[in-house]
Amino acid sequence: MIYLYAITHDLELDELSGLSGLGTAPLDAAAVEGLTAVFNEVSSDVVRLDETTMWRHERVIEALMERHPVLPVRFGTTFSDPEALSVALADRRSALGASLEKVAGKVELGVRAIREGSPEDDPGTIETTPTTGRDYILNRVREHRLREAGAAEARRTLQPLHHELERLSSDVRARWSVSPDTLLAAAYLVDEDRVEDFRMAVDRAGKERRDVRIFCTGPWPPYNFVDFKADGGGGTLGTLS
Amino acid sequence: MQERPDSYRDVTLVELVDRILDKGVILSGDITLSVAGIDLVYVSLRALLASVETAAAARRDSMERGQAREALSADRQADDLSLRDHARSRAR
Repeated sequence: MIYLYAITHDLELDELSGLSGLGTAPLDAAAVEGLTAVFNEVSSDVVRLDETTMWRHERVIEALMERHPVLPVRFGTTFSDPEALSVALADRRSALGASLEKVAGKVELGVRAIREGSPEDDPGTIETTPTTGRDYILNRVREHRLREAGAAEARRTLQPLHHELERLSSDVRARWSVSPDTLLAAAYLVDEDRVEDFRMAVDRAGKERRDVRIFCTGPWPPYNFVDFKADGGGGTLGTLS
Repeated sequence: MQERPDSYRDVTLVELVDRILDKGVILSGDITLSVAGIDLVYVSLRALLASVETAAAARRDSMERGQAREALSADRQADDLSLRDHARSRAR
């Protein structure tokens, strides 16, 4: 069977010569109505969900991304043969072409804001040692409320950074309060020549905060921006959920 | 170059997994994954998420458990009564 990495266009076959993907078979490319699909022949046992294999998938796409707009394909996507792949591509040709245009010259940057802190530096911690079970329970209830209020406050204080990053981006996918400590996990679609500005903005914000660690990762292939169904409006509003 | 904290690598891996398993182009091919591998990634992901996202919470919890033990041993008899009190005060 064949394993698919990415969809791009205007690719020369010899650009693939230095790259390796899953398994040992060389990478190959198929042109279908103006799109180029990059794949190789694999046996099913090499499509393993482990760290090394996931990075192999990623590295192929990152290498292509240096010279071409790419649409990264979800990990583990295989076809029985190149004909089945061609049919799948032809079916979605116009949506894929539009997506390629949208991401041309842009990269995806990830921002993850993780709450830090122990009871000592949590402003809401109740300091009195409980002497009865009742006090203990009441203290815990109060602490829980204060912690929730603290998380809400931390989210609120992340808004200026999010808006600044939004202005540097052409599209955003933001998820708030992913877990009690992950306040924000967001992906931004950013022009290649704005990546440094973007990183500097995140760094500046991170240095001002002791309660939250703000990580900027990437540049990634635009995984979060190939979802055709969600592209209807073309606006830059993140999803607030 | 800028200094990278240790956890940067962990966060990057979480970000990678978030992307390649859940995002990206979905075509009508097959999703082929080794079953042995799935267990592996979930085990290591759980460990990762614990280390990156909930380390602070774990610290808080263990401190609280420590406090709980003290509170319970110091005042075991009063406990039942005060829990009922608390339930009543919440019910109002």
